[in-house]
Amino acid sequence: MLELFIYFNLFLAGIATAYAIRYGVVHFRGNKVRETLPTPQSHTEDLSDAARARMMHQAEASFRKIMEHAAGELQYDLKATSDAVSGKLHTVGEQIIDIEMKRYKDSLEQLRHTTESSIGAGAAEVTKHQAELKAALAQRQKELEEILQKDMEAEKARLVADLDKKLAGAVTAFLVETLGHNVDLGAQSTYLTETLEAHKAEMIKELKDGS
Amino acid sequence: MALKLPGTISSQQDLGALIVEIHDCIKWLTHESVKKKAGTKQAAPPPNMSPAAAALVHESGASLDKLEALIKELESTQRTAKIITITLAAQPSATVKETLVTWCRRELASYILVNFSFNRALLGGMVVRVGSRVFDWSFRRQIINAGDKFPEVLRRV
Repeated sequence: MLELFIYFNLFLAGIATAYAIRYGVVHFRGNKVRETLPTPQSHTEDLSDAARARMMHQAEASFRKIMEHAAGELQYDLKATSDAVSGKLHTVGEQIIDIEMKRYKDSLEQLRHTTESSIGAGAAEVTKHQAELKAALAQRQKELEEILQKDMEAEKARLVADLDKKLAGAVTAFLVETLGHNVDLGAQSTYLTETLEAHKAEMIKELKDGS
Repeated sequence: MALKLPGTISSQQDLGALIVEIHDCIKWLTHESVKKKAGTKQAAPPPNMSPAAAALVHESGASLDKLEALIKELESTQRTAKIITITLAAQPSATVKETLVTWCRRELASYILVNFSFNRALLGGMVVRVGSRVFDWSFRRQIINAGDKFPEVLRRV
């Protein structure tokens, strides 16, 4: 784009240089022609002052008219040139804008593709990371459940053992308290006779009543 | 009655078996007496008897009259004696039986007969039935009666 603009400036500078050279050549050639031309013989001496003055006025007016006409033509040419240059500039500018817009759109499209690719890659990465996290969480949960299960089983066994011990102690204490401290669960002979002795009176009474 | 029942003879069944043994002994003695009178020299072996029966026969001097009187006395005892039933948690040994029978005949009545039975559900102790009354001195009964105390004991342990 910048190169195109530089070429265009060079083109305009070339045009301006060509005009300058042309006018310069015309200017210098005119002076030289004037110098090289043989000086005309003046025949104005024969003319009256009035005629001379009138002719001078006519020549001056004609010169002025020619100059004005030349200036008008130059102005017209300059305007046409300016319009052409403006048109050209406008066309070139539009082309440049179109090219720039196209490049801008291409850049945007590329950027969009890049962004989409990045987003897609990011989403895939996030999905992958999520899957890894899920797997890690599931693994951790499984490990924790196993640990918990083991702890619970150990605690259960400990509680059962404690309960068994406590119940055994309680049952023993209860039996001892209930049956008396002198009970020998292996040999009951003494206990039986003591019991009979303790209830002898009731039994004798029952035997007598029965008879 | 001068009869003293041995400690091993506790129940009516024991007494019945004793009477049968003495009957057999009387029969043997009678046969031996007849054979002696007939001059037969071949003697039959005496019947097998329990130590209790042998002791009673020995006490009577093997006299047929005394043995007949003994049988009558035993049969009378079998009919009229007081009976108690003792249920234990396990099959009682001969020693336990004898101990309990001796105690009963010493403390309750001389000619009392004691029937023994066993019931594992009692856990220990005994259940004594005298006439129509039942004395439950089993461990099972004591544990059931003291069931309310168990939570208190459990709290203390």
